[in-house]
Amino acid sequence: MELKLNHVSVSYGRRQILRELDLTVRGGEILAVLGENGSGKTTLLRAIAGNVPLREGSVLWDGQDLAACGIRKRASLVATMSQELTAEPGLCGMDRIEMGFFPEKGLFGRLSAAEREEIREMAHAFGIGHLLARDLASMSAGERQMIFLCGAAVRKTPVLLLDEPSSALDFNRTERLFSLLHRLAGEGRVILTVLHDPTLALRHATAILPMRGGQAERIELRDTADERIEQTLRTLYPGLRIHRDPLFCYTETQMMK
Amino acid sequence: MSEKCDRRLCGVFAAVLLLLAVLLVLSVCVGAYPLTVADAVTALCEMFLPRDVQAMPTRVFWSLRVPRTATALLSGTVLGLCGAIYQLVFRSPLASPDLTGIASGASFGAALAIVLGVGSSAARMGFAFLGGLLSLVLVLLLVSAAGGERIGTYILSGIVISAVADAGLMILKTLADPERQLAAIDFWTMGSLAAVSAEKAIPLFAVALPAVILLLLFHRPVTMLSLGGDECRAMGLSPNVWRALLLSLATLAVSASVSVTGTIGFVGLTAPHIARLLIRRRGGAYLFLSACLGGVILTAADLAARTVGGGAELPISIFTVAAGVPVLVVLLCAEGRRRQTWS
Repeated sequence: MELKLNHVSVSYGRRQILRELDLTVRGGEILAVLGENGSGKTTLLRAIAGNVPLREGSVLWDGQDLAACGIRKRASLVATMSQELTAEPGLCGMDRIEMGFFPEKGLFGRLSAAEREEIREMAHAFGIGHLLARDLASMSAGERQMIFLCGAAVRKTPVLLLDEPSSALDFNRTERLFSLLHRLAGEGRVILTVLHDPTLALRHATAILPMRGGQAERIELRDTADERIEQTLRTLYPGLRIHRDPLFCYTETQMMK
Repeated sequence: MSEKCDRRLCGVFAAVLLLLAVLLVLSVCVGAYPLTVADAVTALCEMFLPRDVQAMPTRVFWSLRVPRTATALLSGTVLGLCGAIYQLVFRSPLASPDLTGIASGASFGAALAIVLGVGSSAARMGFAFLGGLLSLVLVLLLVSAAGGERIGTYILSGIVISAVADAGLMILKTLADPERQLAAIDFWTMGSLAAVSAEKAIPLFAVALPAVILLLLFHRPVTMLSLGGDECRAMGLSPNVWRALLLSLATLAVSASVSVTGTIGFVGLTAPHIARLLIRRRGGAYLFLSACLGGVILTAADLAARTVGGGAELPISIFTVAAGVPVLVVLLCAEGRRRQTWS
């Protein structure tokens, strides 16, 4: 099971955002997409999710062209967690998870008692059982993310796309989020996550995708020497150094302080 | 949903449906020719008797009260339900059926029929209906020309078309014969159920009732659209297709309603807010409650419009505002206090 992008190009008007991007991510991998603002990270996720038309190229899941799938079929394969999940009042956690089942249930289908029980069990395993009856508007951004991931976990969506999932989270919640992502990846899912913090990427990802000018080349973290990773990351973050024990990244400017 | 929410929901629905039942009975019985509950029961039993052998109370019941009460109930239901749908689809608490220019378009259509000297009420209804539909088509064309699905584009297009229709209405008023036509236009734009008959109510039911049923059945896409286009697409629902479908259905129902009753303000704005504050939930229950509350407000307002002024019928919008505003203000204040307590 793998997600494959072949020569994917995307333009907004005359401005080309992604340029002939090739990428393969296998089940069980966490790929961290890194890059400056405007480098095409979110557009890459939107292209995979089918939210922007491809100028050329194709996105394949297990050999199947996602562009040829209907919107519901695509949603059953790809779950996208945007930066800011909507916090509409009047919907509780369970409602939000139930809505995520639209690809499977359609307009009139309802969750079975067994499926509801499975959601409750998963929510308790995620430590968010108490959020199922809470209003989305009264939840923090992190709690809404947990609800989303719980839904994606129950639905067994094979591809998870996350756009800056840790941007609104404190340290504890960030740790919890990534432990959940490891769990979901361990079940064979493909996880692509946009990150701004290279330390998080190096700690948690299987590989990184440094994006620059709409182009990128995947770098394996396990098989690549730190110097090479450092060299690549410096094209995005000038002056960056990697310190392995404990692992963190810092810039020369930070070091001088 | 927790048991506490379930109990609250059941309690609210029981209270609203009971209130609606009481209002329906009053609406059927109260008027210039008062009927008793026994008269109403007799009229129900004599339903299939030939008209010339029916007693006077039975004739009043079937030819005046039932069409009027049923029209008030359905029109209120349409306005309340469509108001909730506009608010969710446009993701704006200010949205109402007036927003897309439908009410203004329908008013323009009816005024045009009056100025052109179209005598038959069915033809006037047709003009009003076409005016409302034309407004929706123009709004959708404007949105398409603006090349976007952004909510602001819909709202702005609605305001533009509404302004154009209002300007057209003013031109028609200056052209109208001040002795006869001007008064007729003014009466129509103020809204009233005084002239409702079975002949007018049947086309309304034929168009609006199926639209209401479909809109209630489609509560899931309505709720999903309230989360925005990107989240909708991520969940497998095409926002553009569903937004256009739901708005078209809602407009169809509102145009049919406005073409019979004239312009009735505030129900579409008030009913959804009261429903939201009462049950604090989205989804099918919220839409159904908005529809019921719309029916309650309009039935109560119509009852007041024909009884408060003695023998004279008063414009119904006076009472839709009078019934809706105090309830809304009380609920908003209660909501404000609740939030302060939380914080």
